[in-house]
Amino acid sequence: MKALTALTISLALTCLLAPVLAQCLSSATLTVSSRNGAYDSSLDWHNLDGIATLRSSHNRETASVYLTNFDLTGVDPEGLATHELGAGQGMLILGLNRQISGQEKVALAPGSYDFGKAQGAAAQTGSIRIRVPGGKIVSFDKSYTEGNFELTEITDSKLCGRFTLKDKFSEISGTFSVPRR
Amino acid sequence: MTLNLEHDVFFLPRVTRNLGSNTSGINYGVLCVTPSMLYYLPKQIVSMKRLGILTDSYSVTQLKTADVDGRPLEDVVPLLAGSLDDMEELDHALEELAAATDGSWVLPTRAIERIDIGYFAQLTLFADNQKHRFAIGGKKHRQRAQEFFSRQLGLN
Repeated sequence: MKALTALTISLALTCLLAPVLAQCLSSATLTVSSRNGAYDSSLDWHNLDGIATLRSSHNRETASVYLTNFDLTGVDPEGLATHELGAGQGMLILGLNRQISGQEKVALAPGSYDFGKAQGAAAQTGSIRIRVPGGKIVSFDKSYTEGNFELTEITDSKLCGRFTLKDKFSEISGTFSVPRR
Repeated sequence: MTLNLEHDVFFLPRVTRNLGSNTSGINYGVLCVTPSMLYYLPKQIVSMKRLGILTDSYSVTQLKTADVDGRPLEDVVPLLAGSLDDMEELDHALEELAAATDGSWVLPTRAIERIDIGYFAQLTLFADNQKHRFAIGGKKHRQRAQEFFSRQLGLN
């Protein structure tokens, strides 16, 4: 009886929370922790800005979702990957890849992306990079990356998602709703 | 602009990673250390059918996969360095290669706390409260390794 009650409550909570979890939030959240020697643990990730850039080639479409702890106004999105960071600034880059061999036109789609597999080993894969001041980069070891990433919505104007990912040295979690370019 | 393996990274083919009590056989691999990550890739032939992927998500630089397919990794890494524009692209490509190659091993370069260059082909890295041993033949190569880590991390 107790088990049945618990199951009922669990299902009711799932039904109630599902629309909230699926909706595209208006802002982003991010927590980062890392023992990678490149990471500066004093970085503050509370005030976030973000943007996504998308590219297509013959059998794939990729997106780079940039979450930064500084204002991106006036920053060229095309140059973000090499944008020089000042003191206290940090940038999380989530690379998404949807690739289907033998198919001519492939578009990114909502759903789960596997950050533990190499591109091509699954249709939807991802990669993580955290850029910190001084030209230093925190990378993740794909072989040991666990967790989940879900692209919850993709429209002509924005990308939304949520993630909890970690490897042996670093851990990130958060949500995002960023304009696409 | 392309990367120069001699100056920008520490790259060495025919390296063995010693896995403690693993005595099932010795396989040579390649060691590639960038300012961000250390990659040890066992020597295997790359199948680009599976690795139809060595592109950069940011700029979608498409490598000529036909040039890489079926070649040993020790040839592939220099090819990557010659084809890509910056270190971040090389890191991305190596990360994907390591994920797709069984037995690969990756470590954040800046997590390395100490190195020890031995007289008998040993390079030992101390990181995350563990020792990681590599067998590197040739005093010249061990000296190169020492110089690289010294320059990148200020280690002696």
